Amino acid sequence: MATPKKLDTSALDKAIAKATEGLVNRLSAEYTKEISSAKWDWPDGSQRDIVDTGRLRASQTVRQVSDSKYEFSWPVEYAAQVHEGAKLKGGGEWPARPWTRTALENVDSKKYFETILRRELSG
Amino acid sequence: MASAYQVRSLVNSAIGSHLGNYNLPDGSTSPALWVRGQQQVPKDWTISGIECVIDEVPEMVNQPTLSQAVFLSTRWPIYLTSYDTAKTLAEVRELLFQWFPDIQDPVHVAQTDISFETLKVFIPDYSIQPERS
Repeated sequence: MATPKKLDTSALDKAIAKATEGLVNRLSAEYTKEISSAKWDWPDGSQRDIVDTGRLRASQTVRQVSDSKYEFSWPVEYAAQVHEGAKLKGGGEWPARPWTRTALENVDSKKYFETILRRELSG
Repeated sequence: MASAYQVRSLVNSAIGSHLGNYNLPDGSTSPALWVRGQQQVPKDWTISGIECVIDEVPEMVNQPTLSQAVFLSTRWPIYLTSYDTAKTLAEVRELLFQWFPDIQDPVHVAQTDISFETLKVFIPDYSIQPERS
């Protein structure tokens, strides 16, 4: 009877790490692109980007939470109001500009991840 | 699937007594609970207290199945804004969560020096089939 062979998963682990890193970089670029795109409806009828002072865009931060989990954040005090929209005390409102949602719609994350994973595993 | 007005009725039962008013130009008032679709809240109405707005058309997502069956997942977006800077949405939020324990993706944005406190939630819609004899 053949001796059971211990499965070496190090190549797979390495490939997953590479694919995750690639996807994080891709999403990072897409978030920045969405913030910079003049595609967001404004109450005056125009379309604008989400760059005023540039602080929001520059604040984009990615943190590795675990081997396979990353967290994006935009730590400026008005990020949530920009993303979700806001009713202003002085009258008027900011429309919602959900750049994270549109970025995630633009990128086929599963396919992107799979492509890198296959490439890494096939050498 | 429920209609927007059925959802409005449920939301009204849950938090209606905590909502504020629309103040109309003729001096009358109306509860600040609005179904937004073809008609927006008129620009010349002012709002006091907490306002609740429900989108007339819910979000719908088709969830793929292994067969050709269609599984539509529907959810109603509900937006709450406190125009009274001394009154938070905490109590209304708690009531909503009690009435609709399956509420999804709540986004609670605190009041700032320039903007009012807001809360957005989604209420999933389940079809209830009547019993057949």
